Amino acid sequence: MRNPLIHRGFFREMVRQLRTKGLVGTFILAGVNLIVFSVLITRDPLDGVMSNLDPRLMALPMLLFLYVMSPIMVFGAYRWLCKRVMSDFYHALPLSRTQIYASATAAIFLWLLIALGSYAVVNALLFTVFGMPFNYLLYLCVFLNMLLAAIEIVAAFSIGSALCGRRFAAFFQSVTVLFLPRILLTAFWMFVEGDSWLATPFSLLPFFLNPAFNIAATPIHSLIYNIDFANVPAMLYSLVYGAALLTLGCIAFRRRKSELAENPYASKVLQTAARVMVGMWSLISVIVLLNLRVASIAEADEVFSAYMLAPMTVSAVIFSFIFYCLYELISSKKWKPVVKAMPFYGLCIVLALFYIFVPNWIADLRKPSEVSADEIKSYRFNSESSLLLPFGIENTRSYPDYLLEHHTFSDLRGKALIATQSKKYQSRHSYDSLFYSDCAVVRDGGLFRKVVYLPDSSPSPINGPTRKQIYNTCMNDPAFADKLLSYPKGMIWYSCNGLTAAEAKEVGRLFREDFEKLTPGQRETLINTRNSLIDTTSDANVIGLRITLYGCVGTNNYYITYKLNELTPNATRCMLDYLNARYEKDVRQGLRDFVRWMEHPDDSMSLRTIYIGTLIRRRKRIPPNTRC
Amino acid sequence: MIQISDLIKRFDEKTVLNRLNCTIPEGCVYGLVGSNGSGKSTLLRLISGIYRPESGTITIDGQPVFDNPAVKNRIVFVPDELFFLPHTNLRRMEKLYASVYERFSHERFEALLKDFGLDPEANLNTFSKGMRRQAATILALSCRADFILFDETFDGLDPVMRNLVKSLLYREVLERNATAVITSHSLRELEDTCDQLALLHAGGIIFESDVDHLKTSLFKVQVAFSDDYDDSRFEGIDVLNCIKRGSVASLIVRGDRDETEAKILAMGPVLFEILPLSLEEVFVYEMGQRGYEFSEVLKQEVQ
Repeated sequence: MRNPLIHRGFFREMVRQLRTKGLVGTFILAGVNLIVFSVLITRDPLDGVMSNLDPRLMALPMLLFLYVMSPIMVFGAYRWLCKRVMSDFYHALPLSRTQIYASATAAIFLWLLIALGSYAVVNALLFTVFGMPFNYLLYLCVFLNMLLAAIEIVAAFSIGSALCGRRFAAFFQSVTVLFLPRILLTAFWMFVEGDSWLATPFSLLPFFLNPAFNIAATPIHSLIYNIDFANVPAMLYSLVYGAALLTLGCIAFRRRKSELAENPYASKVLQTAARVMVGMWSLISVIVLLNLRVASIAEADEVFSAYMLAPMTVSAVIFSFIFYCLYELISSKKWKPVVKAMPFYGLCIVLALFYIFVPNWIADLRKPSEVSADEIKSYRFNSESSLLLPFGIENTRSYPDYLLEHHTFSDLRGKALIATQSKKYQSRHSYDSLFYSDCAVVRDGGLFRKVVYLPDSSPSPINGPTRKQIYNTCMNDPAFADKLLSYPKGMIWYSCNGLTAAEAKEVGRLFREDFEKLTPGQRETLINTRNSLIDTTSDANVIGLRITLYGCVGTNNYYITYKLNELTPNATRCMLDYLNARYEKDVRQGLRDFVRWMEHPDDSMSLRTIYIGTLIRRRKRIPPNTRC
Repeated sequence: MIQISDLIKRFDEKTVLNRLNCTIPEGCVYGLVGSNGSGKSTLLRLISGIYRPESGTITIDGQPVFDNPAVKNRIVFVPDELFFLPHTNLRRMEKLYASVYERFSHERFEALLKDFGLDPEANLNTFSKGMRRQAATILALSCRADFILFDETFDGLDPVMRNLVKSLLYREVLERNATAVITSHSLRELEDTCDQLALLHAGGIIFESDVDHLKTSLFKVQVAFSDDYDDSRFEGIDVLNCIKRGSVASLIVRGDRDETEAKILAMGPVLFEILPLSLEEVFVYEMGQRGYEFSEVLKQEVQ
């Protein structure tokens, strides 16, 4: 019985044809892996703990690999589609179109899977062998996300290949298939959220490049701040979207005519649509790139006089037009289509102007001026917000997620608090203000429309008292407080004041024993609230004794820093012993230097920072934060 | 049997095949002849399932060909422009063919290699045009397909190899009841190869017939009488053409040879001789009968 989808013989043949590319890709990815790991291993083991746990560390090389290798693999597998002789040869083989498509796609996936899988496995092995922190579950999710991304990218390039008979045109078509839906969807969400969408494709480029992000199911702000590789609905969405694209690719491939080879597009309608897309986006890109104040362009009333007629904008149009003609020339390799395409450039300009101006005009019309506490529908914190630092917890889903997940402002106190602040806010549509503001208030603006109030760029009005108020509001919630003040769960790695990993682990064990004996109130006093301590790289140099716990609970990473003092006697004792053993010689030398300096003051003499725990070992009371 | 009905194929605005009807029986060598651009290659690509027709049907034993692997497994196509994987040899190509053609025979492949004397390990890029066609022929015949389609079959082959290919084709037809469909713009090339011939012109088959029947049913008669005579003397005989030079007339006659001979001998000629016609001559007269100018239909041939 023949397999209607995958022809085993042809699949083997395709695997054989892609062998060189697949092996080279695998070795390149392995090389990248070794370089990254060798950089990590040469650092202080604890310096890079959080970055080791950061899934982006693993995702980035894989994503770059996918973006380079997927087109190479797809164009390699389907190179015969661009040559009449080759196209005839393959279409004459006793295989159905579906079998050819499915077998070739399966072969591409096999090689991508080999490369990505070997990368992931070797990475996990290296981290395990060298005892470095590694969140296995999260990295599995990253790996799955990358496989889903591979489906999407391969499918997009397959569609491009099926629709075009020249590789250049196929490349542009594939890029359009891959990015246009997410750009339009994101623009839609931006519109719903009340933000400017003009610069969406440019300011959010890193997010667009990651096909694993859940674009359709998640509003834009979650897209930006919620880099959650373990989001199952998002993964399901990616799977369904990728499968839909693969199916579309199969349909396009089945309907493709063999004689399309060496012709740029399957139909004149498609050719016109493609050239209009190229013209429109090249124009928008050039305008955005040339005008740094792009958001202001869209908001300004006098745009036409101020910007559209400016020499720079005219240059952008000319540049875009040249690009448009060049695209047509290279894709068709004939002059005649270039001449035919020229009138369509007007359509590109009209569409670009529509994209730039119309949504903002609509937004301006619907912009209310003030907001009261009752009107607030929701609010959100930006991940960069310093409002939430007192919690001293970080997970991969950022502070706001943690807060919003574990604590709900069910009463109006929190809303009122925000509303008070929001009176000082301006409703801004400038995309850049998004990245400098702490908190946003969202008000219902009607169908498919939220009105978002972003604070002024300066965060000063809401720092200080407001931060403390939010913290207190959260801590008044017993369930939230209990969660926050219990000992962290999951796999934990410890770091304290420059100790080795093994030493820190021992201190951590004793710290836990001490911590379990404390009351919630005492535990709260141990939580480090100093913002500067968030910087783990200076962990060894912070004032006082500290222990930082890096942990993974499921797919979530976090870290939390505690003070070590008389409330944790065993851990403190142990830590000081280690410090003494390590620094005793330095301490004695330092003290001698200090005494000499006291006796014979010399301004040119430099004094080192030293820990002096050894010298007070036999004293009954341990002075906290001892340092000179 | 290959059955083609009302086949239309267009490339952009140009209609290459227009309502073409044709039946290719099993177990024969079927020749398609036509001038350049008449649609021979397109027809073969349609039969082999490469192109999808705009309308009309192509069936093999009642099954549609396009996108039908079961039927396509019974067809092998050798195009005019040959394709081999880049930087590869015959062994590698054998693997490719063997992986997709269910009836590919390794033994047959080895035997054909010996017959043609090609090195299976040599890079195909180093092969001459004729050697590449030999290689393609070896691969095609090793597939043991029921329908073997050759486009410009003998292009680039030397006379020895032409004869070898012809004899191999006959063997396929005789031993396995395979059907070979071969095209050429040269009628002479197909004359001694095909059992059936079809003439393709202006998007359709304008003439199709059994070669033996053509040659036997149409013949040339040279006759002379002692008295003066004209065309009316030959009433009752199907004379397609009559040219009289002096007392000797050259007739192109269609019909039964013995019957015609008897009729003319009864008239008491002083000279009587029956001569065979070349296939080209047969076509000239048949085309003339159908209102076509043969030199227009097969420009290449006349030149």
